[in-house]
Amino acid sequence: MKNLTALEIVEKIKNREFTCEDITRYYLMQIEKYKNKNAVLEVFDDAIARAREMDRLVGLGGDLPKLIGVPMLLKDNIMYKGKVCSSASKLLENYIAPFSATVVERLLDAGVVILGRTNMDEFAMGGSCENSAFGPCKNAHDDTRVSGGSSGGSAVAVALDMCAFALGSDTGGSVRQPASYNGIVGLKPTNSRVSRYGLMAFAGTLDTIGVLSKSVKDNAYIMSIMAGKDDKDSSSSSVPVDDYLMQIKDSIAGKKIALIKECQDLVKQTEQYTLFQKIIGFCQKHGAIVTETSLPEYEDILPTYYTIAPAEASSNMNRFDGIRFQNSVNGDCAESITINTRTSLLGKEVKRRIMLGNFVLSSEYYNDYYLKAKGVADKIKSGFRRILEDNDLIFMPTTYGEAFELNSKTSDPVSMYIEDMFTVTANIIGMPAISIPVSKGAYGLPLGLQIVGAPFDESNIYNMADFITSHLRSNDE
Amino acid sequence: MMNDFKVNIGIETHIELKTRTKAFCGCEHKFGADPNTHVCPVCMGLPGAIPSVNRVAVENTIKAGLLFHGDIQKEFYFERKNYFSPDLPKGYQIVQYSKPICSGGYVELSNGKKILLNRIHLEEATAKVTYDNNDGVSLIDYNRSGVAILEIVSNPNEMSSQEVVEYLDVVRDMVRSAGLSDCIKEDGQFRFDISISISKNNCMGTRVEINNLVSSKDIINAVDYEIDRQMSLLESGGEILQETRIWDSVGETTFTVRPKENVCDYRHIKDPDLKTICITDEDIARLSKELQYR
Repeated sequence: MKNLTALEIVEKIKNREFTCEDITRYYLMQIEKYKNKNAVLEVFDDAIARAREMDRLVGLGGDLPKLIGVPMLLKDNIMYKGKVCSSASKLLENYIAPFSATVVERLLDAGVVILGRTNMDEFAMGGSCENSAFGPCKNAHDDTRVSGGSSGGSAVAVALDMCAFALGSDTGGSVRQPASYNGIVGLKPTNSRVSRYGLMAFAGTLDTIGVLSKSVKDNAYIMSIMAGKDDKDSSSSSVPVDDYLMQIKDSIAGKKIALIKECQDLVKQTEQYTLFQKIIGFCQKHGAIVTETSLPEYEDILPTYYTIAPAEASSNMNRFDGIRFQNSVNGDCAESITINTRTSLLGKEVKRRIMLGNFVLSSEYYNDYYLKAKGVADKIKSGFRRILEDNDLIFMPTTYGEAFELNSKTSDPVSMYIEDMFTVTANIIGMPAISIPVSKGAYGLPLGLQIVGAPFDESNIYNMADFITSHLRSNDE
Repeated sequence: MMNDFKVNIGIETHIELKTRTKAFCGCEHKFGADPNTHVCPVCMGLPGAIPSVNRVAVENTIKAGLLFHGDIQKEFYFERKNYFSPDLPKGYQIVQYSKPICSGGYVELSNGKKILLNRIHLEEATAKVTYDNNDGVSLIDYNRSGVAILEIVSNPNEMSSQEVVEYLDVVRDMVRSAGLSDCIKEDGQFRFDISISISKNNCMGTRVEINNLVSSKDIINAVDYEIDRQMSLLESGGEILQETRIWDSVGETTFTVRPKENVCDYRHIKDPDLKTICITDEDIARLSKELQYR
């Protein structure tokens, strides 16, 4: 049962090679085994019961749902009715979700078994999973290194075979960066492709729910089930959803790949650059056409992101005023309850972003910061659109390098923010992007490649990503 | 002496639209129901819930725009007005600020005078809080949270207290006969704030808002009282403070409730959960027809 993909599990369950309960018990053992990583915050006590229910379905025969009996984990900011959903915050430590996210409903309809919820940076704010109120999650391959964030728990759980796949949310790289640091596949879909209903909002215009998986094919298969219009999220798109798995053709001949000079320059002295040269050579050998193009606005991407995202976050966080949600700290009036609750129950990084957001939205600074950032975002968006008019895909690094050491950046928030240099773009421009494991760095830890595509063109990304992950290693290493 | 003064009066009218459901969720909009029986994750502001716009509320706001000869905008959106209050479950109110549904327009009085409007827009109501019950607790009823509110904002116009009363009567009659709201004042369906500013030259004076007005008699008395108060203050070399005052109908005076120092910075931001709405000429023609054939 070791290291199976979701697609393999479905096959084996259908062929009665093992039961849903068997595979669920295997993963529960794995979760127990890697407890020290702190990837999983809670194992749901009804996982076995749910697995047995799926086994009954298998017993009945007939057409089985697409993910029958596949055990998975949820990031702690995606709601599952009746279960705690805390966003790894003290403030929501005991908050029980009164409804399920649309993605959870769609996956349950497809037959999954939800094993539990995974660790993350509090309210998804962070890039190392060190901002969790319940302690950091450690890298899957090295206990002294970060797992990445904010969906660090989900990435580590997939990498160490604690589940078949996991969900994460990605507002500025929170699926792709931990996927890269732990050597797995993580896709952030086009903004609005997947319903956000039931995801605790960080920044609505940038928030997406993505899949962390062991293979590109799994990711494609699961994304087809999750994506599509949802009446409960009026911002979700009604563009038809492709059968992404069917679009994987095992060929990249004629595909046009663009590289952005400004991104390449940023990694010129690093092992990422050498790796890039190798991948480019590989793609060209298989018939892809690679060109480099310039996008001078790119250097403004980080300040743009760190203006827009906190602005929206500050507003979204208002609802946690200590009046309705447990936990709460008492006071002698409504205002003091709010101040006391937020002061003592929210973590440092969350408070920092609330302050930042309130600052850029204040009437005095709105034009100079927020509006300006929106203007730059539009410029960067049209730059990318222009590139993707002539090209199918853009290749970028996911990160500067391997996972960094725990506590090495916690005292310097800006150095932490710089790590998001390559991932925030896809959220700002609203386009889909994947991170796939392609190599190992000097410390023996995984390195990822990021592939960005045009809006709603997840198919092209999956096809390229599958080709590279299937053939790169065997042919070129 | 008195004739040197220029009196400008601005009026904000808040009208509960008669829609079956609330402005941004599917909950029934019903007055007088048991507390917290018409609520859902959206109007309770629960994390993970996402609002969606009630099309009928938008159309009714457009109709109000047409009734009062305003410019219906082809593109508009909703913004968040951020502030903390126990009656505001999300910590922000969904309002329209920089892109209202309708701008301009006027209300015509019987003497032919046109009271110019600034804008007509749609926003959501807050919840109802009953402070300090017998046992020292405050209670929140979310039934009203998220109910669709039509707001008609006039420009500062030179007008008399009698004309203010007539303006409000005309607005109420027209909105009611168009079927957009029952405008029952006692149920809070028709509320208004009046701002008065007085100056000696052509510059606009400092704005003072008066709340808590219901009857025509109160309006006339309060407006006249406030004009007199401000004039004598200016005459004696005093300074008018920007503030909100409340009319005390028993003592026949106004008193301060919110001085300027407490004015909030609402940090408006376009609501990330709601798309920009586009309206076509055909939509407007259809709504205009619906108004005519009522």
